[in-house]
Amino acid sequence: MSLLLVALALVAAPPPPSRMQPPGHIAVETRCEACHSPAGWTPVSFDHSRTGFPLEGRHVSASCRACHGSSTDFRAPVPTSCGACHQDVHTGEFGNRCASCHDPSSWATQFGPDAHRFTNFPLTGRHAAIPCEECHQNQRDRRFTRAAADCFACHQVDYARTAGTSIDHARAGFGTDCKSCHFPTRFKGARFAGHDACFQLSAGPHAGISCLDCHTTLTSFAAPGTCTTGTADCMRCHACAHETQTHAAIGGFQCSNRKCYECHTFTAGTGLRPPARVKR
Amino acid sequence: MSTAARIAGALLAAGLVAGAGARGEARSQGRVGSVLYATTTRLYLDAGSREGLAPGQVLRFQRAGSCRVEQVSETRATCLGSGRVGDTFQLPEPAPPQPILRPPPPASPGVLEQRRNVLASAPYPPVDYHEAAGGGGVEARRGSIDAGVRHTTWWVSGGPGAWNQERADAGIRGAPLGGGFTLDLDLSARRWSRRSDPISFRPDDPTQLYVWEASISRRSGDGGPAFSVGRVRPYRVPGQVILDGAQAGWRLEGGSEAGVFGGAVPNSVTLAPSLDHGTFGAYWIGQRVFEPDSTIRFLRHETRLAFVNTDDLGKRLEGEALVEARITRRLDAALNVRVGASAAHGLGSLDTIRLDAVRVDATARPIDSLSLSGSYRHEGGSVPELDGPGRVLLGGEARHADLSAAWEATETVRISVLSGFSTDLVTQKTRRWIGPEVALTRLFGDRGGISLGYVQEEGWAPGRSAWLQVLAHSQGVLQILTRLSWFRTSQIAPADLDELGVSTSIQAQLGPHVAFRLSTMARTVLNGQMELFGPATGRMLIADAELAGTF
Repeated sequence: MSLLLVALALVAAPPPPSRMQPPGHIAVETRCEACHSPAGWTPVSFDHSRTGFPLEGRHVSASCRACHGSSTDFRAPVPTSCGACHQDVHTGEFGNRCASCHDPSSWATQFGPDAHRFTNFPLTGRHAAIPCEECHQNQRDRRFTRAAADCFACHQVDYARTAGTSIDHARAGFGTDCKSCHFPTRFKGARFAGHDACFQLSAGPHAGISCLDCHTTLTSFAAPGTCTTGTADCMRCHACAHETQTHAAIGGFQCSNRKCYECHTFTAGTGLRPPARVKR
Repeated sequence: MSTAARIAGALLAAGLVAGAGARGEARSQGRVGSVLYATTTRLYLDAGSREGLAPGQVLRFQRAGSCRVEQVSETRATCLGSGRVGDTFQLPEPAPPQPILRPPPPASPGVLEQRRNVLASAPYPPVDYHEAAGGGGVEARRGSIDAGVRHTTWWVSGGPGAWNQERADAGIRGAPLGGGFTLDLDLSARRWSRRSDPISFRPDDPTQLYVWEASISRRSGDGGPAFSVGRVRPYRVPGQVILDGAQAGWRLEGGSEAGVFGGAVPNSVTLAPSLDHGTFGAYWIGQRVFEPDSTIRFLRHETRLAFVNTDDLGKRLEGEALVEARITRRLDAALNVRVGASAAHGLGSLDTIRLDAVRVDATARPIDSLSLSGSYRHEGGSVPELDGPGRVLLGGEARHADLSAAWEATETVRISVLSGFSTDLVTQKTRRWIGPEVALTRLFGDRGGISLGYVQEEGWAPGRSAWLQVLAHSQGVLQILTRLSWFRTSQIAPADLDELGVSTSIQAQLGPHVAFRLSTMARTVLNGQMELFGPATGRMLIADAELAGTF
């Protein structure tokens, strides 16, 4: 009987006083001073770098609840990907790997022309110094997709703009592979690789000269490659008096464009040499 | 006492005195503190006010470096600066001992008994922990305000002149309005003070205002109704465009939520409100945290089914799902799939369902010193974009993948390999790249380090890149990053193009809430059809200065 009374007393007795455990705190964690100080429950200080997710930049001032939620069981796993906490403003285009363009210090993008190298369109020449929205124009979704690997996809307007100018691309029959003639730095100063078939410009003494240094006009292009424009004027640079003197021993020499070209084409395989000296 | 005994006593006394002196000297030399933990900017010390530390003191480590004491408790302190675990520093000399004050004699037993009775009969409330009200959840925020003003200049040699833009950005995230309501705002105002032809983007609008978000929301971590109204960026609805309307749902404790949304869709370029386009749909958000030792630690999934009518894509029916998981502590993975069908003639006559997008991201850390990161993107939908007045580009179908591996060889050396490819499915043009990067993260000790990299590139515009990057920082107050780059690109011009670039980024924390950032990038063409540094050589410069505040 006495044993029964003792058992009943034990069951009915209030539980022994225990340490005050804040709701949700880990039952085994009693080292309050690891996070709290006697000054109050907040602010809380904790060395987060030991968790494998060091708090850097703006994360230093983030509240614990912003990531861990209302639970104070900080052992509960929290995803470390950016997208787990930050809402995507790019409508999913870049997934949840924000760190490719952003860092914890600011949302200002760290993605510059150098990083653009790791895409399908390296920003060469002038492309590196224009605002992003000149190409990526969707502001609403902050998207950056675009089928711009082909020059003409973006520069069709510029091709059409040559109509009526001295270098009317369509009239001259120029192709739409812009980079075969133009450098990405600027449109002016283009090279015409096909010109070598008629008169070498890619190398030799005439390398790098501009079209209108020789041609009197560019509005009457013959079909490229036929070498029949008839507008090249050698005498713009080569004075007749000088050339007549230097060609005194050449039979049949005449100071005329056609006669110059009969010997000096500078094309591969002609066997004719360039003049030793050019006097302007 | 005999003479021998006196001598022995004197020697013993001398020994005791000498021993006490030595102990005192050893105690003086041993007054050092050490660093218990270290983050990039903050150190945790094993000494506090009891050892004489006070906020503002500058501690110099016996190895190298220093830090400024931030907060002090009786036995611990935090310190702003750079250091390593185990770094030691000299503690300040202890204050001279206070003269011992003799306490008054104890009260009589009668007085003590009287005081004891008073204390025993006085009621006192127990001290308890009360969690702050206001809900929680992953998205719980205390509210923040970001604001900044910027000036940017783009300049190209031989061009018609520089482009100058001034801009002001502002963002308010979850600012409490009372009653559980919060305000979200995200806007940017830009003014072109100088622009010159050719201009593709909004050539007739030197002043531009973009408002991405201006909404009032109520979303409690404890569950219950959740809604947002205004210009809404729908909360965690994958792939959904912003809308002028509302999102309403029901939230469960733990963060899961289901609901609907609908409204007008603003213009894709100007963000101007328009009733010509709109959207409506339903969504489901689910997330679950598992036991710390389980295989799957965290799982989040989001789903959207919507009718979307936008100025760029027209009328479409879209479905999208996103799944993100943390698997053990070694792997994070995410999968996003979007399908869509044109509904140009109404929902009753849908075109063939197309795979608009597949995106996979994974980050693994098989061992602590090795991390692997990769992604794959398939963009199957055409994304028209404006290109100058009245012109629209169609395209955007592409594939992209990248994979990088980083090995922390030592505490100060990291060796990485970067690789990837990108294919434009419209033109079938592809580029691939791969190369190493070596980082000496503590070459300058606590002040920073350098990294060197090289990448070989193949494809329609082959080439190679090399760079040297220097990062220097000072106690979280100033950070300077400089990068010297060289690029060679082939088949992008009539001849190979060599370029040299220098970019610099300076971040200065002017105060607890204000920062200044200055970024510059300069490039020059080293060859090509023009003479080096000649008037027509391709030289260019971008300079961007920003004063930003966070409150």
